[in-house]
Amino acid sequence: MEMNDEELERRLRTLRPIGPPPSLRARVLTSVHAPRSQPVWTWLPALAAILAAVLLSWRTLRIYEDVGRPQIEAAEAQRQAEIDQLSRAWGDTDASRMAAEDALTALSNASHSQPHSVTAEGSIK
Amino acid sequence: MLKRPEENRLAEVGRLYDRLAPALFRYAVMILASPTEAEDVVHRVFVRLLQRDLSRVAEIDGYARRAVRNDCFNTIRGRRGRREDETTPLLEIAGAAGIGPEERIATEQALRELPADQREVLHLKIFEGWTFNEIAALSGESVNTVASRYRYGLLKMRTRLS
Repeated sequence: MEMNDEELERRLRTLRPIGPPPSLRARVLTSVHAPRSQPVWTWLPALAAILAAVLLSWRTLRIYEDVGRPQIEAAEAQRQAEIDQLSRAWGDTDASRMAAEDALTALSNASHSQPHSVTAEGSIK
Repeated sequence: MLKRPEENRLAEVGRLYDRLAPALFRYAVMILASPTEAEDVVHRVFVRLLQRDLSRVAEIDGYARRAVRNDCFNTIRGRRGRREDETTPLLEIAGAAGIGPEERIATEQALRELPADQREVLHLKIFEGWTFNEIAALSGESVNTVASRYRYGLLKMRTRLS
C-alpha cells in the first residue's frame, strides 16, 4: 500500500535516532585528563640549543681543519726534516736516526718548544 | 586527588557534554548511519573543543554542530569497504504509541539506503524540527536544494516501504 508524505513523516516521528552509549561520556571526560600534546613552540628553545651546539661543534671542526691541522702537519714535517738532517750528519744509519729522534725529543721536552735549529754539520742550536 | 581547577574543568566539560552530546550523537548517527563512527566523531569533536578556551568560543552549540557535520562528511569520504556496524539499530521507539519492530526495521532499512545528505535533512527536519532555512544556513546550501533533498528523501523512502 502506497503511503503519502504525511503518513511517512508521522511514522518517522514515532521513532528517533539512538542516543550515545554511556561509555562515550567517560571516554570524553577521560580526554580532559589525558596529557595534551605540547605545542611545537614549547620545544623551540631546546631545539635551538641543540642546533647551536651542532653548529658550534661543526664550526670548531672547521677551524681545526683550517688552522690547527696545517700547523700540526707543518710542525711534524719540520721535525721529520730535522731528524733526517741530523741522521744524515751522524752517519745515516738506523742508530743515527734513533739518536736524532731521541735528541730532538729531549730538546723539545727541555726547552718547552723554544725555537731551535739544526745545522747541516749535525749540531743543534 | 584532583586539584580544584581540574575538578572545575571536569565539571564544566561534564555539563557541556550532557547538554550537547545527545543531539550531536543522534545527528551524527543519522548522517553516517553508523553508531560506531558517530561515537568516534563526537569524541573527536569534543577533544578538539576542549583544546580551546571555551570562554572564547562564540556560540559553542553552532560551532560543535558544524564540527560534527564536517567530521561526518570527512569520515564518509574516507571510508574504505564495509562497516562492521551495518546491522546495529539506528532508530529506537520514541513514545508509547510507537510502531512495531518489523516496521521499525523496514523504516530503518529505507533510511540507510538514502544518501547521507538526504538523511541529514530528514533528521534535522523531522527529528529536530529545524526549518529549511536553518538547515540551509548550517549546510551552506540553498533553501531549494535543502527542500529537494527532503522531498527526494521522502519519495525514496515511500517507494522502498510500499
